[in-house]
Parts: sequence; structure tokens; C-alpha cells
Amino acid sequence: MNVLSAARRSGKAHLGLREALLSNAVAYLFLAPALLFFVVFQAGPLITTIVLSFYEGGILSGFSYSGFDNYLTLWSDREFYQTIKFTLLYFVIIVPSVLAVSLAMAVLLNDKFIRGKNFFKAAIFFPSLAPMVTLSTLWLFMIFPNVGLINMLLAVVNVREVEWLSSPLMATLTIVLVELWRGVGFYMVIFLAGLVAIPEELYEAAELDGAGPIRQFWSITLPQLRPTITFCLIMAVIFNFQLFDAVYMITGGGPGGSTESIAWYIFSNAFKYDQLGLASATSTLLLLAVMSITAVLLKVLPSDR
Amino acid sequence: MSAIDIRGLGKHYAGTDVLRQVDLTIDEGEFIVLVGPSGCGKSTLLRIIAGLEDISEGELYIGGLLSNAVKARARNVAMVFQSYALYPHMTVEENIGFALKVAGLSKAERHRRVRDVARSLGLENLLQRKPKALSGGQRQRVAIGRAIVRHPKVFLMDEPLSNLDAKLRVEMRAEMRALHSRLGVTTVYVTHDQVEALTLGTRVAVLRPIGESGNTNVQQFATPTELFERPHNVFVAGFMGSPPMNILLARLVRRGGALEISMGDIVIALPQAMQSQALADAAGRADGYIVIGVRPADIGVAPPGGVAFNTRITDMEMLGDHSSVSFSARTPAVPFDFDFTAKDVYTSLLGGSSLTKISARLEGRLRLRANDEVSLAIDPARIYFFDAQTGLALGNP
Repeated sequence: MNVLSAARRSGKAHLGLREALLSNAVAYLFLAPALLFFVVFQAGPLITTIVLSFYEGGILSGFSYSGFDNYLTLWSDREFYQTIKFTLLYFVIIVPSVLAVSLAMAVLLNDKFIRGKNFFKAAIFFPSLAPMVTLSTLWLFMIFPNVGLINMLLAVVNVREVEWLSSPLMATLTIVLVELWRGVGFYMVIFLAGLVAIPEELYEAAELDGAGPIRQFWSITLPQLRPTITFCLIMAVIFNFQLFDAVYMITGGGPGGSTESIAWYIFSNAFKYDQLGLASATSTLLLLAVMSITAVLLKVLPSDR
Repeated sequence: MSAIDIRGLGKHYAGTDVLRQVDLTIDEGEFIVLVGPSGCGKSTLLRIIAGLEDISEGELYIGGLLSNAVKARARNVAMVFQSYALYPHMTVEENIGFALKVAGLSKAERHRRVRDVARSLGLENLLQRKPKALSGGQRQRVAIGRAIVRHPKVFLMDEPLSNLDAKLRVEMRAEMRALHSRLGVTTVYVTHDQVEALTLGTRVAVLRPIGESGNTNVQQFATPTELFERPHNVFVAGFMGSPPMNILLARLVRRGGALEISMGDIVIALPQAMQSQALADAAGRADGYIVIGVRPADIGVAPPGGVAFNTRITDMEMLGDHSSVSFSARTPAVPFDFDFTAKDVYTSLLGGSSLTKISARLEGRLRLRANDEVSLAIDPARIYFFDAQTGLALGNP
């Protein structure tokens, strides 16, 4: 009797396993496109980059295993340090300014007394949607010496012509300005979403407690926006460490290599000098840097209200 | 000098009136309750007093000062919100002390006053907690603490007990009364619960949603006893009291020299002493219609030999020392919020069902069941009379 029932049970178990496999196969089939995309375009390139960072050479010259040579080369490369210096300078200017300006815009446009809010939101958000090539070309026209719109406007108020791309500082500021223009809309929309989630009654309670608009901003808005600020800060860190297209389009890394970013350095080594191994090592370091900063920020910054 | 004086106040949003011609004078130290159904404008009126809503017309005086244009933060009023609106990122101590911090008080003074308030509300052990770590009742106390710590001129409370369970609500009502008698600060309290209104208010303003032709939202502004015993109109009579008053359309007929109320098959003769001029006038009108109100507790089992009517019980609930029974009368009911300003009052009332359920609260442990025939009596002296054309009271008891 016992043997019989055990056999029945095992038969049922086999059937269950087959059914389970079959149903899992269907699930994997549904997952396949996403999985394929992830392997081909994300995990694959990531692993390849890390592997290639231990090889010397490039696509044209061929690869040969070199151990940690690429990392040692970077360690002693003055040009690499210059790109870190520029990227950090750009980073410390752009991250606070893009967050501050977008938060200010969001707070302004969240005010119920502002008219034409939707127009302003769309206008400010628009640059986030446009390709950087378009934006950069537009800016190149605007900052063109003599006939550029900005210099012409400055001339109206008797400010002498600004050489936008001739000095390292001005070239850096120009890149910051373009990236600011592009980024503000994106962060503003996220901040707006955070702002509308703050209960109106908190402001009313603060108003009755005697707090004016500025005190309300510091005591209610900012603390209530903490998770949004954390999110935007992390996004800004990730985006801006990879600065490339504005450099490529506007300054080409100049003047005198002063606006070459880390991503520019990676691009140049990989596609100009056929040093894909060195570029991969730089990419791996950049990845580690961004991951470390993000991890620290996530640890340090509060993620709840 | 009155603490709050509201004169001819109106509020409209995009052409729709929410408040119209509101006149209220609130004396120093009073506990005023604004009560009414949803949409009657009670919360709007409270928010106007707080300064959180603009005034469309009329005048608002706080402490004798015209305050229409005074900002909320300059009015020295404190408010307890329905949702409590505690600052989620601040501790209980910071929540209570926020107004003092804004006012620029020293840390030591803030600390002392917050501790005092926390002690009086039993919050001493919770000062370092954030609101999300508190129960509903504790949050409510923090909200009250935040209001009283500032020593404001006026407390405004917007349904502060509505998020609490029934038992806690009863406890908090008693605490509210104790708090008010201890502090003596003028309080304006909004609720839709007429039991809260009757038990808390020194005076109660019954508000009604403003219709097309209503003159004002305020139906009556009086002490709880007065509201209960001498309601100005059908709305107040029907809204105040639990269980609610039975309100019916009846006929007042003169039989011989005496007046009788006829509610279909139920006829009640009025004693000579009750036959006021107003009732006589109503009886003299061609239609003879009158609206009558009877509280469930004023219907009883007929004493032997008394004026009674026989009826059949349709429903019965035994509630310990008393029973709630229902029976039917062949006459239309009058909804408490019936619009008497409408053109054809009788067409609306007589057009509906002519069978009305009447509730009675019968004292004692009765052994009654549904479908039992019973002899009941209504004390004629406890019947409320209202004009069937206007809904206004006529010489009530």
C-alpha cells in the first residue's frame, strides 16, 4: 500500500516538474528579448571593456595581453590627469548649478499665481529632448565672435565682445552653460513631481505657525524634497562624469586640450589613436569612480522624507 | 469686545457661492462649533478665519481688528487640521516648537514651553519621535500641542476627531472640554457630527449648503439646548439630534372647537393650551398643511386610558434598556434638507411616497417583535410645528 502510494506520489512529482519546466520555458521565452538586449548591449560590452583593459593595442593594430600595463600608463599620463582636472572642475560647477537652477525653476513654476506655467515648463524642458548636436550648433551660432547673438546683445549694453572659446576658463564656462541649458528642464520636471507631492496643508500649518515663504522653503520644501534631491544628485553625477558631446561639438577639447574630458580621452584613444585597451582601462576606472561616488551618496544622503 | 466678528461675509469660487451673508459674533473664551453637512461651507469659513482663504465680500474682525487683508501668519490664530498636518521630517519636540523657533524665541525658552505643553498632553516620552512613529491619538495631541504652545488668540479646529476611532473620540471630546476650560481660549471648531457639536459647543452655528435662493448658510446660532429644544426651522430640527427627528407633512384640521393633527391614519388632538395663534392661522389656511416634527424619544407606549393610536411595528431593535422601533404613517416625509424656497412645495412633497417610516425610542425592556400590533402615544406638548410653506418654526414647545 505504502509502495503504491509512494509510486503515485513520485509520478505526480515528475509530472509537476515537467509542467514547471514547461511553464518556465514559456517564461524564459517571454524574457528572451529583454535578456538578449541586456546581454548584447549592457552586460556584454561591460565585461568586454573590463577584459580589454588588460590588453594592449586596438582594432587595427591587434590586441596583446599586457596585464596592468594600461593602468600603469594612465597612472603616469599627464594628459589623463589634465582630463580628470577638467572633468572635476566642470563637475563641481555643473552639478550644484544645474540642481539649484532647476530647483528654483520648479519652485517658481509650482507657484499657483504664475500664469502660463505650461508654456514655461515646455520651453524649459525642450532642450532636454533635442539632440546635443542641434543644441551645440545653435550655441555655436549664438557665441560666434562679432555676429553671434550673445555678443550683439552684450554690445547693446556696452559690454565689450567676449571671446567665448579662446581661453580655458571661458571655454569651460561655455560648456557649462550649454549643459546647464540642456539639463535644467530634465531636473526641473523631476523636482516639480516632488513638489506637487508635498501636502499643501504642511505649508498652511507653517503659514499659521508664522513662517514666511523663505522659512517655508527651508523648513518644509527642502526637507520634503530630500528623496528627490538625492535622486537628482545621483543622476547628475552619473550624467556629468560622462561629459562628451558638448566638448566634441563646441570646443573639440581646446583650447590647448584644456577642455578635454575623461570621456573625450576615452574616445580619442579608442577611435583616433587605436588604443582600445587603454580606452577600456580608462572606462573601467570611470565606471568605478561613478559607482563609488554613487554608493557614497546613497549611504550619506537620506532617501526618505 | 468680541473675539471674532463676522459681518455679511461671502465667498464664491468662479461664480458659485459657497458662503453668503454670514453674520456671527463670537465672544471671548467661547467654544463655538460650526456644524453642517458636507458642502455647507463650514471648513471654508474656518479657513477664512485662519487667513488661508480670501474673503469675497463682507468683513472679518479678529480681536476688534479688521482682518480681511491680514496674512495668516500675522493673525495669531492656531489651527488643528483634520489630517493634523504635522511636519513629517521633524520630531514631536520640533513640531511643537516650530512656531516658537519662527518667532525667534531662545532655545532654552522653547525647550521649557514645549516641555510644559508636552507634560500637559502626556507627550513627554514621545518628544524625540517622528510623527510616523505615533498612533492617531498621539498625533492628534501633538497637533493640539503645536496649537496651544503659542498662546494664540483663537484656536481653529477642523474636524480634529474625525480620524479617531469611536472610543478615542469620546475620550478626546472630554479632553477638549477640559482643555478649553483650562485655557479659556476662544475656539472655533468644525464638525459634521452633531453629537460633537452638542457636547462641545458653548454655542453652535448650524450651517447649510447655500442654494440658488438661500439668504445665508447660517440656519441658527444658539446654545446646544436651544438648538435642540427650539430649532428655528426644519433643517436644524432634522440635523440636530440622534436618532434624528421624524419630520412629516401633516394636516391641521379644526374639529369642533379643537385642533387635530392628521397624519393619514394617525390623528392626534391638541390640548387647548397648545392652540396658539400661529397654529390657528395655519389650520385656517385653505390647504391646512403643516410640517410636524417628533423626536423618537417623545413617542412612547400608550398609558392605559391615554390619547393613543394603534399601529403595526415594521422593525425593532432591542438596545438594552430601550428599544428602537419603526412603524409607518400614511403621510409624506419631509427631508430635513428640503428646499422650501422651491416654487411648488406641495407638489414635491406629495409627489413622493406617502408611506413614511417613523422611528420611536421606547424605554424599558419590551417584548415586541416585528408585525406586532401596539398602542403608542405621542405627547402633543413635544410635537414641533413648522410652516409647510417656509419650513420655519411655528410656536414650538
